[in-house]
This record gives sequence, structure tokens and C-alpha cells, in this order.
Amino acid sequence: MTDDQASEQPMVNRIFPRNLTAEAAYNVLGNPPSTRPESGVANCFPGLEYDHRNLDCRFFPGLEVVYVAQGAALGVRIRNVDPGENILVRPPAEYVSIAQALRPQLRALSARLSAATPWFVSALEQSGKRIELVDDTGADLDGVTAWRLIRSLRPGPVTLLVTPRPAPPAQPPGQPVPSDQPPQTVRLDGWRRSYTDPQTGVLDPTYQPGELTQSLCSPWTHDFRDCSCTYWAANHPDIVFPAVPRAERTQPSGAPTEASEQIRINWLRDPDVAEVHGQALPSQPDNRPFEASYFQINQRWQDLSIVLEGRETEGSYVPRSAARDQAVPFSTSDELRGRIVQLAGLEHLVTLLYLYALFSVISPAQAQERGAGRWPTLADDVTFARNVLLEVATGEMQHLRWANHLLWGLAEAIGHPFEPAVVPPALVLPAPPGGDGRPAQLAPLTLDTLALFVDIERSSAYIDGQYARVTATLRQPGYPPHLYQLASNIAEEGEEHFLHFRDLQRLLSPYGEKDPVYLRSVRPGDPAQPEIGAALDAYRHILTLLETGYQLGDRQNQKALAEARTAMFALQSRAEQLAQQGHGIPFFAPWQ
Amino acid sequence: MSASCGTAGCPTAGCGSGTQAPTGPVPLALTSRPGALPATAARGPWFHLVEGCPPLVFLVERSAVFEVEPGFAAALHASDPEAVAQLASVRDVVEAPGHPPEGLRELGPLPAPRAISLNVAQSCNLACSYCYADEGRFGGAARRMPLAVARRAVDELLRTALPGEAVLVGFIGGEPLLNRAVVHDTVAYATARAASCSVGVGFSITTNGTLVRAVDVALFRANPFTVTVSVDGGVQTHDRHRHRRNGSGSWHSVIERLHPLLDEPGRCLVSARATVTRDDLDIARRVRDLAAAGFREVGVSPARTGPDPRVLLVGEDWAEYLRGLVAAAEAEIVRLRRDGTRGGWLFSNLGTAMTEIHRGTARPLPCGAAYGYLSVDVDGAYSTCHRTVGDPRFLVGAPAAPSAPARRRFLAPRLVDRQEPCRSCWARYLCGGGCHAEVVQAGRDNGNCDLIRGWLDYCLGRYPALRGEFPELFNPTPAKVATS
Ligand code: SF4
Ligand code: SF4
Repeated sequence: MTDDQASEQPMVNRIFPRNLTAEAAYNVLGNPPSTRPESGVANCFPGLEYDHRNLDCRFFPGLEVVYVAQGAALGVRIRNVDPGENILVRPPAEYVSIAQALRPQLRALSARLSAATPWFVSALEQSGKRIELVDDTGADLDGVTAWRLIRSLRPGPVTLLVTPRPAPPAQPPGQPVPSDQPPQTVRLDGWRRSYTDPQTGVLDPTYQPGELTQSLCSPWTHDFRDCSCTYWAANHPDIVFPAVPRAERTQPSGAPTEASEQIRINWLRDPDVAEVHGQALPSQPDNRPFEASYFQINQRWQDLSIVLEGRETEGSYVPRSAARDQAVPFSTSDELRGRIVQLAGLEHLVTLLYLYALFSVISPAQAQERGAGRWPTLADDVTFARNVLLEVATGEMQHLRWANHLLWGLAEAIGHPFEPAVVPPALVLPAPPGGDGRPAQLAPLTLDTLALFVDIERSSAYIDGQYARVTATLRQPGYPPHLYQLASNIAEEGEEHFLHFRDLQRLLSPYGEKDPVYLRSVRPGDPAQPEIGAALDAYRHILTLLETGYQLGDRQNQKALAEARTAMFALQSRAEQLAQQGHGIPFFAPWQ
Repeated sequence: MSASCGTAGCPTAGCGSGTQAPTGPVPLALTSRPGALPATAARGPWFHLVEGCPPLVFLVERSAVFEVEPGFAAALHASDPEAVAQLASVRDVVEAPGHPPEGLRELGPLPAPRAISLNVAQSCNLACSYCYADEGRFGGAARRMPLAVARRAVDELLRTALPGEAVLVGFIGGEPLLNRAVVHDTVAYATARAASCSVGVGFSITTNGTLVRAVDVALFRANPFTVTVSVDGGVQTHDRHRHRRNGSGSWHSVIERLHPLLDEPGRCLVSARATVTRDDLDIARRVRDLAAAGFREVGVSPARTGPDPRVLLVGEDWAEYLRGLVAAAEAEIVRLRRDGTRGGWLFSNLGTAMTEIHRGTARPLPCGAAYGYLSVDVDGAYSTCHRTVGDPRFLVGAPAAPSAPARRRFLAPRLVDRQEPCRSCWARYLCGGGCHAEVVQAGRDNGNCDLIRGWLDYCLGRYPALRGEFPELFNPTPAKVATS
């Protein structure tokens, strides 16, 4: 924003609630947090946050109805009449005279209600239109169908006809309602209730807490565990990381580095089994015997842990960004730019390291053969290893793109021309805390290599740590806020990568350090060889396409990105073939 | 749980000058919410500015704390009409209809008492120079409460309690352990009786600690007791005023006898309550010394009334006392940073003030005296609180017959909005108008009120940052408290 714009803004005195009474005042104008979309099951089951029929049970001031869809007497039954309802005593301005006339009508109806003779809504009238709540044959509409008609009423004056239905056979069902109303029919002139306040959106206070959800399951008790459509189960955590005592946290994210705190446990575990729980089993039925019982859930649901960022919390919560946000910001945007360019080089580098390692692992088909007899899980393990490597490598490619996005956003913000940073990759791994940088090497996926990958992705070390000053800088006013978000995302994904590699380490360690059975013997190929040269050309071509592609906003460029993607798949098969012949792609050759 | 009367501004409420209000939620919860507020003509100031960085605005009626921008604070300070109007719109939200303010200006229906203290021994083995209890005899002869009286008072307390509620039984004196048998018997009796009507029961005792024996330690450990020990600081500080009749000090015997309990408190909470006299206003040192002696909670209160005028705080002393409180609070913050928050607040004056500010407590009375809390004298008659037992001006019931009309007669004119100069004091709903016992005895003096306001001002200013730094102190998880 320029200074001119700033000075045109009206002076607004901001004021921030700090204690509970102050905060409460700012929360009370509105509906409870549980009514907001973000606290609903939303994406899984939109619309199931409350039972809409409950809203329409009070569509008419002073009346509470039930929609009866099963049994002998179908339709819209009057459950309760309250001529003294607040909205009738203090009606909205436009309905004052209607309310005045309606109250005696309601009182008269109320006097005639009895348990023996239920009353039903028999017809609706709005804007000169009249709907009888009967079908073509004259039979009473069932509650669900009638409810749809009532839903179609607009806010505004409405007239209802309500009729007693004495026990059969006085008026056999199926008879059309005679157009000259039988004398016992009562006419009510009112309006369709407006369910929320037009100004604030606050629900009409007539609805009692719990009323709108009363016909749903009870999530905190049995349904929470047993809901057969996994509706309720969808909005609670299932498999989580255990809480870590605060003092033990060693990563800036508040996560521990110790493997015992990286196992995944069942959130709904039986609280009486043991303090320390074993790893959650892979399926819901497997876990069932170790879960809290109905009784325990009823008694102790409040002990279930709060889960933040996938981890149970104990005591106070340290945001993931805590350490990052305390880093020292760069003093100029040039410095910031320089660092992002460096980081892009690093993302590029680690992509190559992971890809090289990926192709050093035998294919699942080969594993079937090799493992037969001695290593029964070899095929599964290499499948997992290859998936992890590919996934993380793809993640790093994504980061490369985001880093360019950061550069682009930054260029926009400070009015500089944008230059993509795709090449060259860094060739030196930066120093982890307390160590020296060292030249990077393409290497097969031995346990040593894997240990290095784990270190690279550990959030305080290598790359993510490098983002700290970037996020700290972008957090300052003057930078577009979405850039901070983007940079934080990159940093946070490192933790996922770290965990993947940790899992992989555990999986592969039984195969040993020396010539593990899951590896091919692969050496960097000689660029002079024609097929290796062709692979390198393909790699360079992809980079050119990316450079074009990162010039955002242009059709042509989107096309280039799509082309790059296709070229990547081609390179992937080519690399696989080469690897089977013992050749790795010497990705560094173009830069050395 | 706090060791003061529970009033945020209670550095002066003299609940520590010898005996102590039973603490806990019961006597302090002023929950009445009378419907319509009477139309009041002139109301006192409705907001208060707390200078600092960032500046704060305190909305008096709901004790709501807001942070504001410096420019806005300056405009409010200068009474800029636009700024004031803007703040008034915030106030209107805070006091929105549908969220009635607490019963600030009218006394609602009185609750049945949920806490009593039994003055089991009208005598004391010490002869402290500032003791209002006048060696525990309250001006009368040294007497002890008979067992039947104690049991009857417990019956009366439980008679009105509903299943699921909790009550509190406190033991005071004099020195309550001079009547050990009645203390032990009453604990057993009340526990059994309460269990039979599904009511929870807690206990408290205020003792000078010199008579605690192994059986008492066992009793305190095994029951939900709050043990408040009247101990003033390190050995020299303490022995200066708390001495035996022969003049010898009592500190060593207190600490020696309490050691087992301090080391292994079991279900009880042991706190120290120091009375600050004008000859030594170094509060931080007292807190430090008591922590070193093993107390995990320490509260202080100034000597304001008592038999020996030489030790009572007057005039200029209040400013010095405030400096002492602030220094002790700052020391507490340093300690929390260094040692962590697992043990909660050590300096309970700060803890209480912070908790009340956090919750936004707004009260029309200073404490639960005569409201949810009563004291019983040796004959079974009811007084407004432990500090007024035996004083006919505070009598609110004959033996076994606490009188609601008498309590109402006592309280109604004492609502803070009916007091001068409280009506025009910004701190009125945090302070509640000051300890009844002291006000009747010594009136309200400016120095003392400036202290209350100064302390609250300091605590308000410190609150937002402390809440940010130590969130767990403001939303403690019960499990932690139990294990700490
Ligand atoms: S004037 Fe009243 S309310 Fe204000 S500090 Fe003094 S006693 Fe408390
Ligand atoms: S009146 Fe009694 S209970 Fe209230 S503050 Fe004074 S001493 Fe404490």
C-alpha cells in the first residue's frame, strides 16, 4: 500500500480483548463455534452438522410441530402451542399487528389440544396460494413430503389450517379435505419464522442448545466409536503421535527426535491398558480390542487428548513455527532473494540425490525372485522404499516450484523483474548445526545414504532450518502475507519427509550395511556413452521447460510445464532401464 | 487454591493477622444474578486506563481487559469525546443485553452458607504483638468449643446442602490445635455425614504450627485440607513478633514440626501466611525465606488493625508496602521463568490477582463473609467471619440458628456501590470495598486504597504478557495440580 492510500484510510482504533470477560463479549455475538463450517465434518459429510427438520419444527411462531413419516397418522402434527413465546410478545416491527391477532388464535387452539386427539396442519397458504397437505388420492402426505413443502415457504406472512384428527374411523384417512372447512378446523394467521437474525446471523434464541442436533447420533458416546457410516468417527483423530513431555522436545517444531515418540498410536485407546501404548495396528477392526469401551468413553471422554498437528498435546502447545518465527530476519529484500535462490538450488540438489537413490533399488518383480525363501517381505519393502523416495523427490520438486513462486511474488512486491531459479543445483550440502558443509554425492540407497537423508530432512538441520530466516523475513509487514504462508508450508513438509525416511530406516536396517539385497549395483554412467548422453539431454530439456514454465501467467508457459511433466515420465522409464543395466544417470555432470 | 480472602485487591484484607478464612471456592463465589438492575443515577467511572506498553483499557463493570493502540489511549486520556464514544460502543457490546452483569448493585437472594469456620479454641499458646484475637480470647475468657457445638454446626451446614454440592469446614482460633480432639472428631464426623448425603467436604485450618503433632500430620495428609500456617518469614523476621509468652521465638519449632508435612503433603495443601508489619516491608525476602523453608505457596497481608499500634501500617508506609509487593511479584516472575510453572504460583497474592483479572471477576462485596461463609464461636453463635467472632456488631445468628435476615441486614448496606468513596473508585468491583472487619474498625483510608489501586494497576499491566508467557498458569490442567 502506498503512503497516499494509507492516509486516506479512516482512522480506526483497534482494540483487542485480553481477558475472559473481554473475549466472551466478542464471542457472544454469533452462534457457538460448533455451528461454523470449519468445525463441521464438512468435507466428508456436508450438511450433516445439524438436522434441518429440527429447524422447521418451529417454522411458525408459537407452534412446535413434528413431521411424522411412519405409523398410522402421518403428517405435520402439532406438538406444542405457546401463545406467550417471546417472538409473539415482542414481534419484529412488520409483524406487530399479525402477532396481536395470532395470540388469541393460538390460545384458542391451545385450549382445545388434548392427548386423545392429535392436531395436524392440513393446509398452508402464502401469497394467495394454497397447498393442501394431501396427495392426489386425498391421502395425508407423510411428514417428510409435507416437510419439503413447508421448507419451500418464504419468510413472510403465512396462514395455516390445523385440524384435529379424532381416532379413526371418525374421519377415514384418504378423504380429501372438504373445501368448506369443517367447523373444528382452526385458522392461524402468522408468518414464517426467520431462523436467523438478518443482521448478525445469530440463530433465533427460541432454539434451545442441542435442539438442532438432537436427532443426530451422540458423538461423544457410543456413536463416536461405532458409527457405522464413520460419520462421527470422521471428525475425530484416529491414529496420532503420542504427546512429548515439553522438556524432551528437541526439534524446533516441538517434535521429538527419539524414535519411541515417533510411533503412531490409537487415539481412542483403552485408557486402562497401560501408560505406554504400542503402535496402532493397520486396520480399524484390528485396533478394536484395544480401544476404550463404551463405559470408558462415557466416563472419561474428557480425558481424550487434544491433537494438534497430528500429535497429542500435554499442557501447553508450542506452535510449529515457534522456532522459525524467532529467526533473525534479513535486512534487505536482496538478501532475502539471494537466500531463496540458494534454497531453490538445494531443493534441486536433493531431488537429484533422492532420484538417484530411487533407481538404485531393485524393482518389486526382481525382489520377488531374489527374496524367495529368505526374505519374504523383500518385495513389499522395496515397493515401499521406492514409493517413499519418489514421493519425497516429487515433494522436493514441488518445493523448487514454490521457491520460484516465492521469487516471483517477491519480484512483484518490490517491482523487480522476475528471473526463475532452476539451475544450477547446489553441489554442496550446507552445514548442519555445528558441522561443515560437504560436497554432495550421488549414491545408492545404503543405510549410510539413508542416514544422510534423514539428517537432511530433520527440521532443524540442513534445508528447513535454512527457511527459518526466510519465513522470519516474510512475516514482517510490507511482504505479501501469502508468501509467508507458502514459505511456512515448505518448511513444515520437511517434517513429513523426515518421518517417511525414519520409517524407511527402520524397514531397511535388517538387510544390513554391506551389499544389501534390495540394491542393484549401480554406478554413475559415463556421459560420453550415447544412451547416458541422451538421458542427460532429456534432463536438461526438462530444466529448460521448467524455466519457461516458471515465467508464470502465460498460456505458453503452462504448456511448457505440462510438457516438462511428460518428459519427466519418459526420463523415469529411461532411468529405470539404465539402472537395470547398472548405470545411474550422472546428474551432476552438466554442472561440473 | 489461594491463601487470601480471594479478593484480587486483598493485599490489605487482614485475613492473615492470626487466623484465616477457610479458602476454596465456596465462601468467595458471589453468584447471585438478580434480574432487573435498579435505575441508578450517577454511576462511578466506567473505564480505567492502564498506562504501559501496550496500554490497556479496563472496563469496570465486567472487569474486561482490552489492549488498545497508544494513540487511542492518549485520546481517551485526553477525554476526546470521539474516542470515549467509541469505547462506549465496546462497553455496550461487553454489557450486551442477554448477558446480565453480575448482581452488582442489588443483593440477590442469599445462598445458604457453604462454608463455616469453627472457632474451636479461644486461646493461643503464643502472644503475637499484632494479634487481633487478643491471645485468642477475643476479649473474653479462654474457652474451647465443646464437641456437641461443633457437630451441631456441621449438621446445620449440611442441612441445606444438596447432593453433589461441596461444603467447607474450617478450624480457627486462637490456636485450633489447642482443641485437638474436637478438630479430629469433627473431620471424621463431617466426612461421614457428608458422604451419607452425597455432599463433598473440604477442610481448612489456620494454625501457628507450633503444636502440630504426628497425628495431626496424618490427619492433614489423609483429608482434603488446606493448612495455612501463620509464619512471617525467616527466623529473625518471624521471631520479632511471633513469640511465646515468655518472649522466646517460635520459628524453629514451627519449621521443625511442619517439616514432615512440607516434604510429604499427601492430600493437603500447605501455605504460609505472613503478616507484614511496618518495621520490615521487604516482602520479596519474606517470600524467598518461606519458600526456602519448604512452603510452596506464600501469601502476605499487612497489619492494619491490632492491639499494638507501633507495628501497624500508616500513611507513607502504604507506598513502601506497594513497592514491596511489586518487588516480590517481579521476583516471582523471575522464579517462574527459571524454575518453570509446574508448582503453580508461589506468591499467592500475585496468583490470586492474576486469576481474578483473567476471569474478569466483578464482585459487589469484598469477600464471602456473611454471604456464603460464616464463623461459629465456642457457644455456637454465628458471626460474619473468623475475624469478627465474638464481636456483637457482626453477630448474624444465635447458637444453631444462622439468620438470613441478619446476614442480609449486614450485607445490604455494604454493597460496594453504596459505599463512600468506593462508588467513584475504578477498582470497586475487583476490590469489593475492602475487608468489613477492617472498615468497621479503622475505616477506609486513602493510603490503603491507593495501595489497592496501585497493586491492581500493576497486576493489570502485567497480565497480558504473563498470560502469554505462562498460559498453563491460567488454564491449569487438574491432573498437573494433583501430581505437583
Ligand atoms: S475506594 Fe473502596 S473500592 Fe476503591 S480501593 Fe478503596 S475500598 Fe476498594
Ligand atoms: S471481612 Fe472477614 S472474610 Fe472478609 S476480608 Fe475481612 S477478614 Fe476476610
